[in-house]
Amino acid sequence: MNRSQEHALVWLFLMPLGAAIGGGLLVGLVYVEGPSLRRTLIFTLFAVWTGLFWLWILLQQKKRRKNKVTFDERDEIIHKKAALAGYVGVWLYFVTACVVPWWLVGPQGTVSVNILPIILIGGIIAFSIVQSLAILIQYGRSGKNGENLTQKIE
Amino acid sequence: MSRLQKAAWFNLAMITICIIISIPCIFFLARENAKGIEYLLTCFVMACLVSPVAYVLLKKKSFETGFDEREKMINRRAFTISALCLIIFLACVCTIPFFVLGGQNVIKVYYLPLIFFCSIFTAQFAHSTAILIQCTLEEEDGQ
Repeated sequence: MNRSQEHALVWLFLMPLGAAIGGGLLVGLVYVEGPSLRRTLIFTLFAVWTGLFWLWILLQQKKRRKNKVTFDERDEIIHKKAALAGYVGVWLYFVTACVVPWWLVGPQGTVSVNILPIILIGGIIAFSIVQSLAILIQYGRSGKNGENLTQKIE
Repeated sequence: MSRLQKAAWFNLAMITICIIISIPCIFFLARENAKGIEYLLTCFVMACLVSPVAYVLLKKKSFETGFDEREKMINRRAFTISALCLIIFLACVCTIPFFVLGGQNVIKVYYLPLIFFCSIFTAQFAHSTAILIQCTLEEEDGQ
């Protein structure tokens, strides 16, 4: 298993879990306590700091692997295809998420405002799952050392 | 005007026409209280009929087939910008009403397809505008 596969596998479980827990906490808090500017600011600061923490880890990893070649042409093609698959997956999910409530309650009906962040969190989860699965499937298809895909590229 | 610029203008015009037609249709369906599986099936059948016809008529070859390397790069950059704009738009459109109204409030369900159509428009608008701006900047640099 190479580094991209490991990342995809970790991403497949970690990202949906993180998005579901973080988003669930936010939705629950606003639902129970009501909207508040102070809490919104605290949440934004927390999200920014968490983002910077991940960025710091990424930069550290990059520094360590400065002179090593870990990403070749084949990996790049696989990642591009996976990102495109994720993008298509998000659109399909989004169509479903917008049409199904209409179909269930009718156009004159109302839905809780909580559905908006839930749709957003669902989109993040859908993208991570589709992208990670696309990476794993493509590496699985290309064999242990990627012979089939390399032949296709040639 | 290059083929990429023509395609950008065409896509922008087409998406604008589609949105202008779609939004009154949504309000009409909302007024008629269109609900049930038959409407969903009608939309599905129409999509199944229109999509292959549109694909055959408008996209005989791959979108990037006739483009040179520079145009392909511009198109890829525009796609990245469009995806970023879409993410920012969706994040704003989903979180702002939530924080403004509070979790215990409700919204009309026809806002969801409206958000969907606005997202398509935003993505396409950002893509076409990014292509046109990049082409203009490169032409200015060339002169």
